[in-house]
Amino acid sequence: MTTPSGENNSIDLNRFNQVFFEECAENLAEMEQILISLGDREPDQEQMNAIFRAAHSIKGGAGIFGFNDMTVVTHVMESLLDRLRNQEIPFAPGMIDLFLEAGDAISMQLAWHREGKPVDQEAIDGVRAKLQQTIDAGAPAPVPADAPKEGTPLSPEELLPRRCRLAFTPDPEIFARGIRMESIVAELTELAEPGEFDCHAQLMEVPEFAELDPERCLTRWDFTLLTRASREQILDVFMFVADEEQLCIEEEPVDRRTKAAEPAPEQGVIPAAGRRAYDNGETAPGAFGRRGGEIESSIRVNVTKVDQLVNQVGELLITQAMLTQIAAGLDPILHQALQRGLVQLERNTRDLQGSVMSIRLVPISIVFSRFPRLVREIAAKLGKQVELKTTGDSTELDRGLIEKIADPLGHLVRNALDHGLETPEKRVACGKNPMGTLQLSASQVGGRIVIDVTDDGAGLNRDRILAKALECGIPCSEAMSDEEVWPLIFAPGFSTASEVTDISGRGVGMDVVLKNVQGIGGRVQIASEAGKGARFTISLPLTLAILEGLSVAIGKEKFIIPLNVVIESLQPKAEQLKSVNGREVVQVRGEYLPILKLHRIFNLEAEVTEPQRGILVLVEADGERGAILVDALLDEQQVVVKSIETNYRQVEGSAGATILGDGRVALILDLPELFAMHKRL
Amino acid sequence: MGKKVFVNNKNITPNGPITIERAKELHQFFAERLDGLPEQPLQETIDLSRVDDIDACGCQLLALFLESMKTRGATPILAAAPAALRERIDALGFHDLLALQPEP
Repeated sequence: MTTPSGENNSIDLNRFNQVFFEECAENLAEMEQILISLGDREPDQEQMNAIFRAAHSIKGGAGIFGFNDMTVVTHVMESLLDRLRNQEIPFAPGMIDLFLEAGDAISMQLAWHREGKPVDQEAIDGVRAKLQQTIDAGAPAPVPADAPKEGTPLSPEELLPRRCRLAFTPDPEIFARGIRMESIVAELTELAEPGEFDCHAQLMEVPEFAELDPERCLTRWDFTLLTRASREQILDVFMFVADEEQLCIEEEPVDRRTKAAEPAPEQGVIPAAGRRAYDNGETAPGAFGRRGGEIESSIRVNVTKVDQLVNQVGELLITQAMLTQIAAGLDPILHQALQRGLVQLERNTRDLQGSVMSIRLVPISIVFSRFPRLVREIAAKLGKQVELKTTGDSTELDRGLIEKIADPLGHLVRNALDHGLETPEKRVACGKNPMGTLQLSASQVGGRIVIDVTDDGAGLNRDRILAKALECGIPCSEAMSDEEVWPLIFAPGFSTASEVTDISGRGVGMDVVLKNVQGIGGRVQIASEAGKGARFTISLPLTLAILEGLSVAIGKEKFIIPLNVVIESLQPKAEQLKSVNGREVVQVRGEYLPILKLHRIFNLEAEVTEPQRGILVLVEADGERGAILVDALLDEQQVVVKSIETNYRQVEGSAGATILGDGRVALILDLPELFAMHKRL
Repeated sequence: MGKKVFVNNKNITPNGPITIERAKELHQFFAERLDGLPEQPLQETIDLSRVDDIDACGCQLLALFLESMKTRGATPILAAAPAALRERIDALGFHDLLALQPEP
């Protein structure tokens, strides 16, 4: 009797791979962030250790999860970093770019395993060769064992071999997590002196065979090795594997140098804190990349599960609102206990909603953090000096939006660098600082997230835009205002760049930016002043967010006005109401504000059509003020913003919708769009 | 459900890799063979000649199978393991639990 030899996978390793992918991406991002922050400076010991750890974690994880191709570049990179931190090779500024290049190669390999994106093997081989050349070119500076440098870590060669006994009792899920014991054994063998490694497996229990779970680990391992490796290096092998209490290391007396340099460790069994202290009190990434002290502070949850939770809480909110509405019609004396319970329910539901919504929101710094490197590289390529400033990094928006806004923002940043900002010579000639400024800022304004990309460059060239538009057959005229001219650059194929570069100027940039932004319910606005710079403003709806809103009634319909655009509400007196250029305005403290009649804008039947019979809600958005005429003010409430585009279609003048307590849908007003609609009436 | 009867009751011959990916399938295979042991079992040979790969999970499964056979009074013998398989079993520290017959 034989078994079939088919490839029938009994477990889904993919979900474990995903964990590695995410952690690998995090490590790459961390490494890049440190490298970019350095400029051309030499990293200090702490930074060097952090970069080393990131590379080592990637290598270790890749080996353990079976992505052997990813260990090639990381291995050479790690060797170079190790030589650098041991001061065996002098630092050279070009190494920063080389490490960044290596990070790109690893990212490419990650993308291949993660998304099946093609890999440029030549580039990977090239980076590996360059790293190796750098190692070979730097003359190793071995330090005699009897003359150690103060404060420098000991290389394996400097330590005397000592015997280590490791007792490893893995997590029962180790097999199912896709971790390969073979890699661990291989890494430990590498650390051992030749022929001085022993591995012994023991079964911890022998359950009834028919009932056992074959993917559950019931084995413990004892390793004995004669090694020159530091305790830290041994622990690094278990970086992605061992949790606390899963690994014990028994060391025979340590070498002379370590003894002299630091207090002797206690003899006997040393419980290895799975997330042990690293250099300068830092902690190394532990199992699945968690950091010290964070064992239980965070877990990874699939986004779809969070979405499901958000939707369920949204439904709960609606149910709660419905109950409140029904209870409002009951006698409060007779149903006192019910009323109290409902108040409590409302409080708890809102707390729950706040907690759940915060899970889905992520800070925009996730996107902003991509740009320092982009700016650095492009500026260097173009011979420009650019300072990148970011503000509002903590502004939170929906995770889905974050992913979709990265590309359009990238286009805008590239355009600003390529076409907006001038060369240092030109800037000096214009009386400007040779260093240009590119500012990325984010904020929440009303029901929207506003992201500005501002540069202090030459600004948009009106004449060239008009000339190019004519050339492209786009209807335009000299009489057009700037506000009408700037959007011409969004036309497909439009580019005023005299040279097509690999940075921008391919003529496919701005229309793609607009299309992508509009695709997520956003819009792009441009402000520009010749010689002073340009500002591109992307405004996005809060697709999934909590919004403090003022609910108002217009006829039988209800609308939500984002509370942070509301200035005040008033019942106007007849003498406050005027007409300017045929448009109704209200005079408030000497200022004339246009009256926005929603029933006209949305073509509704209203009970109140004359301002003096209704209520005017004074609002301000994007520096523009107005007065919205409503029949009645209903309530101030927190609402769950739902994307109306996703669930229905785009409705002009709305930033989304919400479901009210009575189950009806109410539009959330988008003030800037309403102002624009009002002007067109 | 009735007991399975194996036509070739002499050797137990797993085929292909003994790895985590096939752990459930192989578990069932070994469980059936365990179930099919005679009342008074003596020597049972597990022929590894057709096994081309093994990992720690596979080693453990095989070790548990052997232990279970011993509990039922059988004397399991691991035979005909290819060299690469021997090396892997040794490297993973299962040399005692999976005592292999010496190479011919």
